[in-house]
Amino acid sequence: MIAQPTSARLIDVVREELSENVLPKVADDPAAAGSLHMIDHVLETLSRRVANEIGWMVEEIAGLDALGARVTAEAPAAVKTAAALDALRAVDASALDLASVSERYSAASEVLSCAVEEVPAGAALRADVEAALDARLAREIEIIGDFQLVDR
Amino acid sequence: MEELSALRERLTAFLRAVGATDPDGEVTDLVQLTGGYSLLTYRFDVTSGGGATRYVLRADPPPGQAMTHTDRAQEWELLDALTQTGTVPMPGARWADPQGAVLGTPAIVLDFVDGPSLLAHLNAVDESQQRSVALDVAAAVATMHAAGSTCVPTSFTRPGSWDDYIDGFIAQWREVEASMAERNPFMRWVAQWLETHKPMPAPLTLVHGEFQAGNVMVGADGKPQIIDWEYAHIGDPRVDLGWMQIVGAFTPPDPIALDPMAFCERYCEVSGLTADVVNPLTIGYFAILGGSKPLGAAVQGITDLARGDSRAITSAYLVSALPFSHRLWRDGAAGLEAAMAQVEALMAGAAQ
Repeated sequence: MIAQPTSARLIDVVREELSENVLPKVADDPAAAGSLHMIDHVLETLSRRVANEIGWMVEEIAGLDALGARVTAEAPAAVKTAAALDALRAVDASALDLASVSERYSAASEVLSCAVEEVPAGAALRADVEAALDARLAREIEIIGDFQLVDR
Repeated sequence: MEELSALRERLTAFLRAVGATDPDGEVTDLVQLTGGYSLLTYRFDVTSGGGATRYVLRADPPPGQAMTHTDRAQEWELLDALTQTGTVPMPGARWADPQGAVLGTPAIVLDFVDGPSLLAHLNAVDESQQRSVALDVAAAVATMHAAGSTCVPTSFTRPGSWDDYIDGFIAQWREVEASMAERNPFMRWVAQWLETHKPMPAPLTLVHGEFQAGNVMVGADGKPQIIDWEYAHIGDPRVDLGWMQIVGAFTPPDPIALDPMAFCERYCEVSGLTADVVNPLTIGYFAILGGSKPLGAAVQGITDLARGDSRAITSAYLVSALPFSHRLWRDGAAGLEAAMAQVEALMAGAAQ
């Protein structure tokens, strides 16, 4: 396959072309201009995602697997978390194509969701659960950048 | 252009059939308006007998292109009832083709409001004027809520109790999350937080369901007119205030945030509710709670997109609204918890 220019670079070039040569031609059509603004934002987020998303997801999956293990070891009543962890570990971890990693990421997200619901506010592990949420949020915000809804 | 021409012909036939114009009356200047993420909106003139009157058409988009799914027949039933009541600040609802028999798609015709959206108006005036307009908005939404539930048609669901209503919203958070193409820990976290931080109840009443600056027009008299009622229902009025606040965070300015205490004070004056029911902290709770329904509509569009059942660019764009919302919920809940702790500390100090 051709790896250079990277997918992110190609997307950036498409954005520039749309912005410099297409948008001015539809500037007096509010609906078309609005669509182009939305397309530009989608491309902007895609540029950041394609550059990082598999690595970020693999890293976070490992962290949530470890968190799930700590929760199940220290809170035997956390049966949903234990079941979600089993489900995560049942998914083939060797495949690195995007669909497979996304499937594992969703399974890891279920581990975190169950931990959110089963680790009480006063427990020592709660800080780890909250930290996992905050870490995920930081990446999400990095992807969307300075997002504002288009005024339609 | 061909689509507009065909719609103009159908609209002319429809308006003649319902007696809205003379047999020789014509629809002219039909223009599609930008605005809204769900329905198609047009303005047009009806020219008849030497005069012209301007109206707005709200219509369902073609099948497969809808990002949300709401019922024009039920919306028409409500708007017709409210128009006859005459107390709620809104453009009058005139005619409807609720099944789309003539117009080809379910649609409602309303009076045209000759003015900008509240959002555009707020962005066009200075901060002093913004604060004044915000108080008008407080009075308008309070007037709507003061209309009560009796003006709402019997076809609308009546919650069994305030707790049932709130628990229903919390359940929606979990249902929306379960419907997604992937798991979302933030929505599950929100549902849990909402269960453990309920405020005191408010009387259930007519609620707009998507009250925000983009759904308020400023009429020629400078007064707010509330539009786009597709999510109206009977519920806790603070749902509308909370939704305005959360949308204001996406598309500032937020009319409540300009002066939260003044907004709440004006709202309470007009609605008759008390400050322990409507205050910045309880609005903050509802800013989080009330997001489930309209957010659910956006999530549905995103999920349809993920599964290949939709190709709406708006849904692709709104994928970014999810992380933005995650941050709002986390920051909002943290801020509310800190403020509640301060209030409790003050009350404890006052009791000593």
